[in-house]
Amino acid sequence: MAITASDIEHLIRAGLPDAQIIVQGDDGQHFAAEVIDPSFKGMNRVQQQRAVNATLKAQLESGELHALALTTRAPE
Amino acid sequence: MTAQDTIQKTVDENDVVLYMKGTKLMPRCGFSSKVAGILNFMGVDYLDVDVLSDEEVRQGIKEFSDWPTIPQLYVKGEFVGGCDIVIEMTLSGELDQMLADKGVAFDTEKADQIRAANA
Repeated sequence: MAITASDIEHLIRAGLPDAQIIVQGDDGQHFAAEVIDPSFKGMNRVQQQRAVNATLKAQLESGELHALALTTRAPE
Repeated sequence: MTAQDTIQKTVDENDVVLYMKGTKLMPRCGFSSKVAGILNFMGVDYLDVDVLSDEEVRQGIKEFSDWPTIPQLYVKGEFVGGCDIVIEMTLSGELDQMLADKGVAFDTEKADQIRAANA
């Protein structure tokens, strides 16, 4: 069964419990996620996205999750 | 030389390096072709490394930068980001700033055209 948007949301939330997470994508392959987390304050984009990628490490490495367009920022 | 040493040497010896799937003229993945397209259009001189032709580099680069996906852009030895980040930086003008700060030549008019086209 292909990975779903809600699977991705749960995985990210497991790693970033305080984050606001919006995941879109219903073709099982291509997803877009926006993650807004207080811990991102003071981090540059690479560090922010590394934190999100870390929550999805297994799925990214196995190729189960191939295309994830990420936008990240700290809350205003 | 391990893959890590080879990668370190490559990013040290070349101002701009793009680890990608395929080559700058024949990209073989949507994300790689977007980043290569931006750099080509902006007239940035860069080394394209086709990770599909070397499995060791393909895995090694992910360890090297602790970044799980390809493409990966390096400017003066520093990891800049993957496709999303490079696009965001291009549209925000941060890429122009970074290239200018690091003394990497590019065509500012073309960069403006990209932004205008995506406004």
